[in-house]
Amino acid sequence: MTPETADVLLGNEVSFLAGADAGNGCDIAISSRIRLARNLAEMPFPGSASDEMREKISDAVADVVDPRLFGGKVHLFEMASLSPVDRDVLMERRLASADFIRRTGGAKLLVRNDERISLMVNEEDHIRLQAIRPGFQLPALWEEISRIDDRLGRKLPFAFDEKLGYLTSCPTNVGTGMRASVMLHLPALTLSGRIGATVQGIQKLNLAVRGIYGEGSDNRGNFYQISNQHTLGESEEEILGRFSAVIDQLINFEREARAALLQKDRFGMLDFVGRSFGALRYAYKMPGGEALNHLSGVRVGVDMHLFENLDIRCVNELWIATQNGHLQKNAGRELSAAERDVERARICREKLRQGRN
Amino acid sequence: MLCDRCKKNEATIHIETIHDGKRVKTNLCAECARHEEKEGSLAALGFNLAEVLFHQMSGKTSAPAPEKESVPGIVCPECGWTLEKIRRHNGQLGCARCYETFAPMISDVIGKVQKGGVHTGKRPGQRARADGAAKLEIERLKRLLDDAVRREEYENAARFRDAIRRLEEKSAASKAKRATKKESAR
Repeated sequence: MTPETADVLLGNEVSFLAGADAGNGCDIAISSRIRLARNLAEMPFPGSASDEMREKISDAVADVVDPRLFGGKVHLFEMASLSPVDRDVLMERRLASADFIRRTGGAKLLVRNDERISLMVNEEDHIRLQAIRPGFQLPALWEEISRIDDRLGRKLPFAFDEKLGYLTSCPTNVGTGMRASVMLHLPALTLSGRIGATVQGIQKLNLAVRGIYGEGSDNRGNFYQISNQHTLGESEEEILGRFSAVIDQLINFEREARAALLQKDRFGMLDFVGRSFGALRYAYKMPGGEALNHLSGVRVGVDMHLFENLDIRCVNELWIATQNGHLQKNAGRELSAAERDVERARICREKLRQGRN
Repeated sequence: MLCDRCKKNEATIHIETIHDGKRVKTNLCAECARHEEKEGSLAALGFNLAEVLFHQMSGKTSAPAPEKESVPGIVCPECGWTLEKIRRHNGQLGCARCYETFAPMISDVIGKVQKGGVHTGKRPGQRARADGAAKLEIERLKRLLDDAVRREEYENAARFRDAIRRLEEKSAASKAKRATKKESAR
């Protein structure tokens, strides 16, 4: 397999947004993801391995990942040979973590052509296998990722302990090595001042709440990533079952909060949505954080059928196109922060002028 | 920056939370973070608990002059890592053998951050339960069905009921198929 640049992915629909208008609770649950952490037996974890050792590990993994194992054409990316913009593109498409794109020695990423299956080699663990889809669909994700994990496990010897399960670099992932996460869009809970209590409630249930890009990122645009904390002591199905019940409840809370806002303060809600639309449609400088916040406003307007001539696809496309990596890829060169704000505003104005795409 | 809680030690842990839509920054020293953790307020903030725990543990064994790497204690025979090194790597271990080498400390961490101490999920070389995903989907549809009935959305309720029936029939059929396969294999 020859390493490629992020350009090969740009024509794709983004995996976690593609077909997002097709149901599955997509109006509130934007996307679902499951990650499995695995390590090769008898090999030091990436944190203590030499560059040479990590190269050896990544070759061993890349060798067995073929179209048959992944269920489709496979792309290979080497972090060390990619430009910063390309690495940002991979992170924005949620194929690589913020930590991973900064790694070099032996950090390789394998991506199935539809981007719904990917595998980071030499992140915190040797293998981080990921399955991601739009909407709320954990059972289908689990079925798919577990099948690919079975195939990988037949070709590679995994570090496994009878009592502790899959051994991971950090004991917070040991056992199943599984993290499921769902990205929720919760503007009405935020607007009605109930988000603090909601987040606390989620945390009491031993689930983690994070921003869009995981650990350390903030909750720009009212997007929250909820994930399981425990990985040991319950089976994958038990973890997913408990987790799904909480997500269903959160979706209901947000839905009720939206209906209540519209009933109690119709003009307040319309104003929130309208101002967001106005800023995106007419501004000439648009910082990234502000764009996400306004896209949240426009998204809720589309979800609640407050627009006649705007569909969710348009919002999704802007969502990805306005992020730094994609913005610069589209411009064909690196842009300064000031240039990015101007370019971002231009893209928003044009896209919203067209309305439907 | 001083710790918000004790106002004495240097704050090394910085946490941002949202309370009632307002952003609140908290700066804590390792010791106070541990206290807060005990009270349950830090547990699920996406906060690296392992880091704090290992920090605390290696602190116990370290000599008073922490300038150099001076923890005498245990060294992993496989990767050569010490507790001090694990702490500096945010609670990450050097290799699978570290789980044996530092077993008492790790089981302490696991006791605090995990639901149980024994793995009950899938294993390498053994297929996941074939009906696991279907079971999950049925559970979810049942919740949606209850909800639809509660809201008196009967059209949706009927849709969920049919979907549940289809899935249950499908998994019963595949169960029977597996049973006959087993039978004929004997």
